[in-house]
Amino acid sequence: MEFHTEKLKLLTDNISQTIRGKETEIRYVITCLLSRGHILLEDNPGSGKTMMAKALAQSISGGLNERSSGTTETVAFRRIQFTPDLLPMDLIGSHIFDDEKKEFIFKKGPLFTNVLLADEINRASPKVQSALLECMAENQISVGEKTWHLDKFFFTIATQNPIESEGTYPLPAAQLDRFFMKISFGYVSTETEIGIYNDYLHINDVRNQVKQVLSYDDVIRLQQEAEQVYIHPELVKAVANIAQATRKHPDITVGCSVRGGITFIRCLKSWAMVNQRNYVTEDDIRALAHVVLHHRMVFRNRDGIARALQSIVDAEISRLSKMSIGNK
Amino acid sequence: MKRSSKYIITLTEWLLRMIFVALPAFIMSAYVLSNVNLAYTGFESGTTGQLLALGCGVLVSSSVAWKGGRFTTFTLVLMLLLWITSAVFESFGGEFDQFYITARFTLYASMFVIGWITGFLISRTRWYVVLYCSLLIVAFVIFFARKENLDAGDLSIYLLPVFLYTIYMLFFAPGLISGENVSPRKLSRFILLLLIVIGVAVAAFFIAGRQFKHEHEIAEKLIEKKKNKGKGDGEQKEDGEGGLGDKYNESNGLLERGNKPKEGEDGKEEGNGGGQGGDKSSDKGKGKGDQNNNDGEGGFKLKDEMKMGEQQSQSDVLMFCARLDNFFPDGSPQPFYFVYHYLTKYDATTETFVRDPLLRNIDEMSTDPSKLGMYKTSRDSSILKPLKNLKKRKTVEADVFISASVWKHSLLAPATPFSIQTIPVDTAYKGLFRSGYHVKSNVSELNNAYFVYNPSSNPQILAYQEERFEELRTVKDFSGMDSVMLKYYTELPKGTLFDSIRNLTLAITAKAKTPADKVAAIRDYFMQPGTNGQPLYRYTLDPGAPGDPNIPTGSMLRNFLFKTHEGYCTYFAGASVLMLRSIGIPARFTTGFATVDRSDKNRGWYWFYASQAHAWTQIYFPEYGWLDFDMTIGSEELSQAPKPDGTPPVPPPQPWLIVEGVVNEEPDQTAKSLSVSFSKVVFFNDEYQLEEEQNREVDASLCRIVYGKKDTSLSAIHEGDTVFIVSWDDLAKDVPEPDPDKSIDEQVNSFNWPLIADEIYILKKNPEKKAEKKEAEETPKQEVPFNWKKLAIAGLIVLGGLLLAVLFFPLIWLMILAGRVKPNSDPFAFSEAVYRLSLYVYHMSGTELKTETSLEYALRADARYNTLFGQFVRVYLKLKYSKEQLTSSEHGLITEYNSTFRTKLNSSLSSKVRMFRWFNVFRALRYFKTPEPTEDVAMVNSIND
Repeated sequence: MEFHTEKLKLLTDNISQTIRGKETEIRYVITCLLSRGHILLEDNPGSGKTMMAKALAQSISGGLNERSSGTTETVAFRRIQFTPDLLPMDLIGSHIFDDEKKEFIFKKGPLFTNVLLADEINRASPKVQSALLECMAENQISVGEKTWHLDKFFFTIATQNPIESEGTYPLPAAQLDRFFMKISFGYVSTETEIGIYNDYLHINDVRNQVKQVLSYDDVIRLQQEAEQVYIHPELVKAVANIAQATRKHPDITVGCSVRGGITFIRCLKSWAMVNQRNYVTEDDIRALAHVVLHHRMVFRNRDGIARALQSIVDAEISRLSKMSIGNK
Repeated sequence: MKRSSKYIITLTEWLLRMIFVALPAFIMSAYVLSNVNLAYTGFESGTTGQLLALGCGVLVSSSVAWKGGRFTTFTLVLMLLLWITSAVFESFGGEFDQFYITARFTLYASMFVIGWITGFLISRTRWYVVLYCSLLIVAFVIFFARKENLDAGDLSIYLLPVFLYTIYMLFFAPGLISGENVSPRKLSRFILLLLIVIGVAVAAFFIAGRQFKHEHEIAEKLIEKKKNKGKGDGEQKEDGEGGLGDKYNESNGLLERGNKPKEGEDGKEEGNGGGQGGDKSSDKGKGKGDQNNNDGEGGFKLKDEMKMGEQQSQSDVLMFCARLDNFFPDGSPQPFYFVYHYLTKYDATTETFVRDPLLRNIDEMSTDPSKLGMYKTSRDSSILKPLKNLKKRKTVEADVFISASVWKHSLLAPATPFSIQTIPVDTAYKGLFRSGYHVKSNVSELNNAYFVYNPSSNPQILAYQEERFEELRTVKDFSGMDSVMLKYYTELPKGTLFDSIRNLTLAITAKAKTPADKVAAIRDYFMQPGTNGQPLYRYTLDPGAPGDPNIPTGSMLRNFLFKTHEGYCTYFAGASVLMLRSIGIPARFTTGFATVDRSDKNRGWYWFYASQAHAWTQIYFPEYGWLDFDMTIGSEELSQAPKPDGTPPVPPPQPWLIVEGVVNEEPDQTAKSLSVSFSKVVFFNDEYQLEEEQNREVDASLCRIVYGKKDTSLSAIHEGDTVFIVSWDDLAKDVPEPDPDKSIDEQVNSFNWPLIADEIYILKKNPEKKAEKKEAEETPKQEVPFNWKKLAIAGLIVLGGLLLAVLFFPLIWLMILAGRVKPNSDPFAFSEAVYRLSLYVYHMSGTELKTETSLEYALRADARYNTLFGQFVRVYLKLKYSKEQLTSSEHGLITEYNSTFRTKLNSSLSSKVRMFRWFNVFRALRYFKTPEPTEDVAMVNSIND
């Protein structure tokens, strides 16, 4: 277990150098990475979302870039700025006519990468959004008759402007379900902010010199190890209880799906690992319930948005913290 | 009203609530209800039916509540339903007895409504518990205040169940109700707790039982003896052991059957005459009313009157007058003292003589004359049984007329009556006398007043009394007496007072050989001259004792016997009873009236004024029974009444025949006659049961018809009514003589029919009223007035006990939790116990677990108390959720935390604050409650606002 503790610490520290005051968010992102999932960041522009994605990509060596160029490079990192006129083929790639071979060849789009930053995903048309989401869910792209597999290590960090912004196509709930987590970056505290202003030059330097602390294989191994984290049956039951309660709650129209539950458990395991434990505790449920589950549900009213999930989780946490498990 | 969805629960939860909340609530209600039914005759209409209504209410309302029904809506619907049903009932009118139906309906409907409200409260609020339990306690305390003698045994018997129920509901049930998911584990633990509570209840009863074992043993033995004698009637009949037993047995049987219509009448009287009676008593003035209310206090009341005797204006209040049908052979009247109560027990706690609360009616008749219908006879043959083999006995009859001004209904008679019949007061004397009754007593000839009077001032009496002592000297000892009885009547508490009394008595009676001599010696002791020529003892109404109660206490008797030598009758009587008991002579304290014959004109009539209220000593002599001895010296007040005897009331006409029967058909209004079928008659004061039911005409042309307490007319009598027909023995009628040779049926056949009726009492019998058989041993339902002092005491005891139990509950729980911490058990069990204990300790110290995880809570607590709780919880969580083993350092941490956290915690709080927090029961209650989800929005990470 020394392995993951050490590596994850390196990774976290590395990213923290460029993104200040966002330790929890960094952990969320890493958790999603280890769960082989994707993450949706929601916030106003300029809160460090892109830097986050970049720093992550830069911390990992190998991957697609290495294989294509043969040099020790960071993993492939692509950024796509979503705009209303973006077309699916801008993401996936397209068939173009090869003059020499007299045939159409497939020119891979930016999706064929390891870390993808999909900026302002809600500004693109639903067609584009669903193209992206299919890739995220299936890890493969179907173009014409051929199916292209994406790399094992495919991690999307999507960002989204708050819904009220003009010119947006809000993501439907069904599509939001594909994201393992939706987190809000938020602004940093005043002190951290002042620190950032003082050090911005230094931070810029650091950003350009982010060390590669993890290899591509390390990530794959960490992902495998995360699956091995022990989760107590009572906690699995708690997850089930929460999922079922969301379906029964009067203020929730659409509750948590079974996929949501599975995602939750995967995230719990990774989160435990990120927090240097090889077992899940009730605190993990508390920490993740909101970010993993809240965006999957449709609420009936404002009251529900604010409190329904909270109260469900509270009830379950109360049960767990007072419960005695005689498993020994 | 809150959102109803909150209340919707699953079937399992509903069932659990039914079993663990509604059922106990129902049982407690039933318990209270049955007691209330016992205490208040007005309710007497079948507890089962009431319980059924109550149970239905609980069931229906909690079912409705379970389905999320709204209380207000459904209650309105229920009220509408009730209103409609009662309207329907009222429209029935003639077909049913309307009053009966509506009264019964109201009763059942209110039961149902009570059940309804209980059911809803159970389903909706957790605080109903407090409300419901306090209601129960109030009900019981009120019920208690009616009890005459309050002792710890009563308290434990009556209040303990309520008490335990309250604790059960307060501490155990809420945990069950609030838990949304009831796991089998939780349930089994709960059932275990329940069993413990039941165990405690049983133990408490056992302890209470042992505490009062002694008294109960005697009580039970004596009661059993009484019972056996009652039952023995039948057996002795087979033995052929004398006709007396047969006769009483017969009459007893008649009495039992005769009870049915009497009860009906009682109910009517309460229903109809209640208002009237109330008006009357309020007319008489408040002070007098209060005295009357002390009816149940036994001898105390009499003494109240005596105290008032000091004021001349009050001492001449007429209490009652009586005609005693007992004369010397030369025709001069032979009076008897009139007995009111026997105070058999010396209560060591209050140091006074009291009526034994457990044997209230020992040797006394429990009948209340005011409860007895007109001309009704009540007999208690068990009183006669022990007298059967005694010598010098005769039956004396007396007519007693109770004064209207002061005295309420009380049973007064020479010795204990075994038979009582109420008789009317002639209308001309209604203003003077409230009521009258005819009593029969079996008295000893040795008890006539001239044998009893204290002979201090009269050597003639002294000589006369010597006859009795001569007779009694044949009794050498008390070996022939029943040992239980002897022990009971010679029992004295231990103490210096009683030792000195014993020494004094032994000195006085040193020369006496027989018990009679000893008694005489004690009597003479009170009369002997003192050192300076003056008598040693002096009668005074003002003995100057502080407090001066009615029955002197032990310390006052010490003063009386060894210091002041001054006192009035109760001092003499009390002292002599103690003296007699101290040397093993069975004696008891008797209250009543001293009889003085002052009238030459009206022979056999005696007048009793307030100042004649008296207390004297009764001593049991084997073969002679209880004999009266008046030890009170020279009380002039007794012989010189402020008023001479008055004119006796004209004795009411003696009925020669009383018929109780049912009216066959509608009476003939023109001919003024009615047809009655009957099988019970009273012929010259003897009750008979006819073998065949008779069907006869009655001439009602000249008679007075009474319904309830009012005069009415013949038109009030209808078919099916039960009536009581009285015919007076006057010369105008051809009244037959009783013929002992003929059977009663033959005699009835030979009467002149139709019977000329003089009075007809209508006892309207309820058509559906079921005959409730009463056992003779059943506790009599006495109207005991409200006693605020006892109410306050009972209330205080209950409150105090509850308060203690409630206050100390948090600490008891702490001990239970701390007891579970066993450092040598396996790490998981150990840390689990430590965790539970910590949760509770931090909770009670002011940091309550909200809807947070263990770790969050621990860190919060650590921030305040700095007790390593956070580190401990990390280890605990590892044990709880992972499969790994603990390292030795983690082991050490648990042990260290366990041994230090309470000290650290205590040092961070002042002892005052700690005490306040630990005695905060509400805080402890919150511990068992699942916390509400927090409304703290700040904890929500992001809200799309």
